[in-house]
Amino acid sequence: MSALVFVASGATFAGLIAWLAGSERSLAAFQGGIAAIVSGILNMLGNHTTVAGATVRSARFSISVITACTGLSLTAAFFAAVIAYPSRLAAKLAGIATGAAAIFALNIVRLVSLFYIGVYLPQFLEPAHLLVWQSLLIVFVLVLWLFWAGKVAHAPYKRKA
Amino acid sequence: MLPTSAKRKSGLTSQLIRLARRFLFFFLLLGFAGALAAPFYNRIVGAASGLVFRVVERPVVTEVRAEKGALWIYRETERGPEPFNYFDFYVYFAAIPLLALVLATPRLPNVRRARRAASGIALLFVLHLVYIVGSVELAYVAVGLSPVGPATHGILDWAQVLLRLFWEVGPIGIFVGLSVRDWRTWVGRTTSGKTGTAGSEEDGPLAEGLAAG
Repeated sequence: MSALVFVASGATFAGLIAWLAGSERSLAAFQGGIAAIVSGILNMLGNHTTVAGATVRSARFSISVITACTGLSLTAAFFAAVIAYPSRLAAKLAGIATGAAAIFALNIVRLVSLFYIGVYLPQFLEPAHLLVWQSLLIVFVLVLWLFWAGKVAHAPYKRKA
Repeated sequence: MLPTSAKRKSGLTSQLIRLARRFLFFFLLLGFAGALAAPFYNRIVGAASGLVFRVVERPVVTEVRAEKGALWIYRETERGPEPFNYFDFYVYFAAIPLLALVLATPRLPNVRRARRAASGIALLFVLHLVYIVGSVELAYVAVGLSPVGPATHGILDWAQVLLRLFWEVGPIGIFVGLSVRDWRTWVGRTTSGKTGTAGSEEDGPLAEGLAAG
């Protein structure tokens, strides 16, 4: 992996996220979309939630999807690592698409679980939010990248004995 | 004889599962230890960030007080120091997953593991200092306590988000940076299809599974 490419692409994605966040409205739709998905899942599971902007509301607990809750920063780190790793363009594109979907899905699971923790175990909400899930996302991104690097990225280079 | 692709793949998967499993074990262990160590670490960060504020501010208006696991930021006013902001224990959360990752990495000699853990914590300490001092200084600008030009104010949101990204993603960068040589060796072996000998250090952290898988 080229450290220089990793830093350069990481900085580019970080700048992009910062630009999106800085322009306020740009990320609002994305955050609102996440809130709508989370609310939809919670309602399917028998809860009665509504969405207001990027906030999922219920009579028992509410969560707001702020920029930090979108998982964009970890997705950007994953993209940077995939781009920096020497592999074919097709492998990179596959990694980016699959990785983005996987991180997005796990983030949705995280938000749904945090809602339930907030309702049933509110005393554990802070450690679950700020320690457990943050850490799990970090190791997930790392394992995902290693998995991609081992399974997909090296595929074009496979040789037969 | 080269291993088959399927064997290599199953070895990779099993090694990653092993890494994740070990990570969870050490994460839980360190989670409890972290709660005990947090006040001590917090005092060190508090003292160091106090020194950094003295360097970056003219005049010095910020005072840092470490109280248990939290870091309180006081700002000098006409009425004396008043609380401005605080950082709770969770601002240091990354120390736990970072150490858990170092401990969970398979096939690492203990000396190298200890060296990596120490280097990781040292780098993370710097990251925490930058984050705390940067956050406070940017907050001063945001609420109008540090007068800046419109151009600087225009990039304030950017700067705050970038600092947050730096804090959030930094631990991954630190871990990858510390273990990049092992990963490179491993990646080289994987891409060239070499088996290597399980147990040799040059196989890299995941090589056992590749060779034995």
